[in-house]
Amino acid sequence: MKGDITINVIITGLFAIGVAAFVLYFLFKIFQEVQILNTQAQTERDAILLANAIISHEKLVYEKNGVKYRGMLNVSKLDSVFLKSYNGFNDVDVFKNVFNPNFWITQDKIDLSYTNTLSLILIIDLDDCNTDRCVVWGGVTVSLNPWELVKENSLVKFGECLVQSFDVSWGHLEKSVGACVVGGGLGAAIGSVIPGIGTAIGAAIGCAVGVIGTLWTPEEITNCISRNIPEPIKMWLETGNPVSHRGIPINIVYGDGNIHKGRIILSLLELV
Amino acid sequence: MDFHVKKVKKVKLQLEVKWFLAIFIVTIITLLILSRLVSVALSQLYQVVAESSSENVAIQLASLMSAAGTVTGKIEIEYIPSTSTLYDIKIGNKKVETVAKFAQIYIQKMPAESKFCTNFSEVEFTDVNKFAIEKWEENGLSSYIISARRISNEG
Repeated sequence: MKGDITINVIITGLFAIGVAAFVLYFLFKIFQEVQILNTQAQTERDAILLANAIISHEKLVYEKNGVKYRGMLNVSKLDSVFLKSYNGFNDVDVFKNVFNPNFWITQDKIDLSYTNTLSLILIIDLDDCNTDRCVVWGGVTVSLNPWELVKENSLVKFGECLVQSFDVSWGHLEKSVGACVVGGGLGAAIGSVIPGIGTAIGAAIGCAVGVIGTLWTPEEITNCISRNIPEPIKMWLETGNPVSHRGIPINIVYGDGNIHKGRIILSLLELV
Repeated sequence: MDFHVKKVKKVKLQLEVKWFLAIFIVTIITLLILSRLVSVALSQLYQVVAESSSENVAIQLASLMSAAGTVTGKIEIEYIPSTSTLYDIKIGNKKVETVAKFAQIYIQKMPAESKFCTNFSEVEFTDVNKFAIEKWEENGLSSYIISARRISNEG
């Protein structure tokens, strides 16, 4: 009879499902295979480029007969731009000033920086650095854009993500009302036995906790956290270091013509 | 008569099952062969799209703009990310914002941003795919400029 479920129909259906399942499986497998991994540490790349630009900067490089020498830094120029110490990086008196906003390197001295990024520049004279004496220079450049700092702040973006994830469907409303009723009942029961709170306040607190508990799923909150982790924390999770750091070999040219081997270390702390 | 009808139905059912089995096996073998070919074709497509994507061009352009600062004196850098894709570029606040305008409708036109550390002035370009970055020194100060234009496949 027409419309009856026969063995033929069942077998046909099963085969159709089987074929569809295999097609889906193969498509999934193909898309898995063609993933392109293009993850790069942005801060590392930025730090390398900035360090390379700094060792070519006209306000720092050694100059002779009108020729500027990249990677060769003039001591008198370094002295005029950075804070100097003869006791290495352990010289607390000097290095606490490096981070003092009053001693930050101004734009008229070094105009190279990234927006909303704190760049710590350290230069060490390797030929004049031992246990008794160590010549180092240090400075911080900062370029801030307050509006962007607020707009792109990870907490603000986390809030925006939560607002975007907020479910306004009828089903969600029902879930929230249910959670309010259950939470309210529990709150009223607990409130009635605790002196000073009472049934009404307990019910109100219970209802509020219930509603808040249903606003977002744990997956939505996890997603918003992972999407808005600040770059320094990502860097710390990936590399174990809170800031990016790279050392580039340089030469330091003294006034008497002596050339010392040195190293420039640049650390970036990207605020947004 | 009734016995003959039942027998015919049974034979028909067996035939259909065989047909389905045959189609099923052929489908699997075909998919196995195609899966490799399709993944190679898709990889190539993804590669082309990734290379000329907004994100890649923003990163490359910002890196080149920063790299212009790594030379003393004068430098000129030319960059052509793609001859078939056009870009809208916005430079300001030490950031490059790029939108790749792919001709294919199934590729989203998503903007991407990247930072640079040198001093380029604010500028905007529409429908361009060739960039020229220049740095020169004047009176002991470095100056930077970026220009852009549109080129066709023939260059």
